Amino acid sequence: MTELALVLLGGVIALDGVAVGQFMVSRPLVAGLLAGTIAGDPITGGAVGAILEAYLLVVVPSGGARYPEPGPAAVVGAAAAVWVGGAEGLALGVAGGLVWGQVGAFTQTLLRHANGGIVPVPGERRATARSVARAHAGAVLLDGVRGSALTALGLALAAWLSPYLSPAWPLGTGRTRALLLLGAFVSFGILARGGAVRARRLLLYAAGIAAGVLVGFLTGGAAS
Amino acid sequence: MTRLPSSLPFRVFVRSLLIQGSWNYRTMIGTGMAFALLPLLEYLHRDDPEGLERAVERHAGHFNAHPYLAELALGSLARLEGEREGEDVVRRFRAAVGGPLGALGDRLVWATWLPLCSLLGLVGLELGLRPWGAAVLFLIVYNVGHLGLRVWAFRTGLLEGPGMVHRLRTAALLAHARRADVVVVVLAGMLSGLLLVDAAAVMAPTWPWVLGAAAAAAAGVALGSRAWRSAALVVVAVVAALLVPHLLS
Repeated sequence: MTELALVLLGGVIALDGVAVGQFMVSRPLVAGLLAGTIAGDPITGGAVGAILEAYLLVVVPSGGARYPEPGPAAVVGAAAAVWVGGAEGLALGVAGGLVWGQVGAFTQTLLRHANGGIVPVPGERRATARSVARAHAGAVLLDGVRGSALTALGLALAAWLSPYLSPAWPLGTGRTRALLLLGAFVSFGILARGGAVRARRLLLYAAGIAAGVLVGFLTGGAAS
Repeated sequence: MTRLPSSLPFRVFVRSLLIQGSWNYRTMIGTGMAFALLPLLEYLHRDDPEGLERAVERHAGHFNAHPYLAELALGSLARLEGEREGEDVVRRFRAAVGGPLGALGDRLVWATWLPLCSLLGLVGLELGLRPWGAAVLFLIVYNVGHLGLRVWAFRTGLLEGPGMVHRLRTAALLAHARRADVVVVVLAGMLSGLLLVDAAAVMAPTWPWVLGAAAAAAAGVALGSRAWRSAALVVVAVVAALLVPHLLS
């Protein structure tokens, strides 16, 4: 039942990513937490989601560009992290989420090509009220099925892999988290740069760092 | 303008939430635009099946814009149809507005509002907010802006028609984007600083981690989005290298 719930969640999350609403429950910060809750450990799921969110800050669903699909990737990553457990689960969840995001991107491209074959194209295939409504509804349904199938495949791979992972992961949870977050600093740098390298933006970024360090020391940090 | 039942604009707006449902490389969101307008077109041409078919044809063609700002075009097209404007007028308007609405929406929403809200959630987490609290904070703040923009855009398009171009200029959306962008950069810095403090608590010695973080941030600054994929690959490779020996044993 847990696996079915996760697969259904993956489908719903995939729809929210582009086709229906874009209310952003498909962002890893939310999707990882939802998946972790279903899998039995919201804290681990939320941790995977937060790290993936930091990576994917600069990945935006813009037009026809291919970008990592965050939602189903976060569901698969969070579930894998909960099933494996511990620091190695966290590492597998984040790395697996990054990889599965690329697989999701590939399936989205396939979906968009498939949609091009079913929608009415004025001048080629008659566009009537009925054909437009049917094609549009069919495309939405196909996207939901794609999201669920993508999630199911990712979960199956994670379940197949997990017995082969040794519990002798060399780092504790805190260090693993810190190591995984190193890569996210590239995203922070990209945000600091914006469209082009500008001194003002870099100064603002530096000011932010100073504020963060000060607040971090005053509040005692959040590392656990 | 033809008097419309009060429920019609609402029905068009609700359908517009699915405007990207059939995104494809041929018509892009064109099919979605026609889908959203269907209740209005069916009402206007309820006694004229051929007129309905012509109307659907002119709206189902290629069109692309940011999904939230497409509401401006949608509302304007609904007004043009309600005023029984000619096909040429509708087609010319469609051709003119898509690109600018796409670029503006990408800048305003994807490059600014979304990362700002994500960063708010992540900084909240680092400052001790519970995971559900951070997620709810992100969702509420994001969707207040998201739905506010959609409702404003649709309403403006419906009330102003093609005159919405002037309202778009005076709304100074780009100025708002620039201000929000400052917040994004500062929040990104704050998150970096908070993570540095976290790392200092768990990594001993801390300086290799700080050097690695600085190098990663510098790569992002210098190379922009080109650095992202390499960074993700390195992380995946390191994790795999640590896990794989166990896989093979």
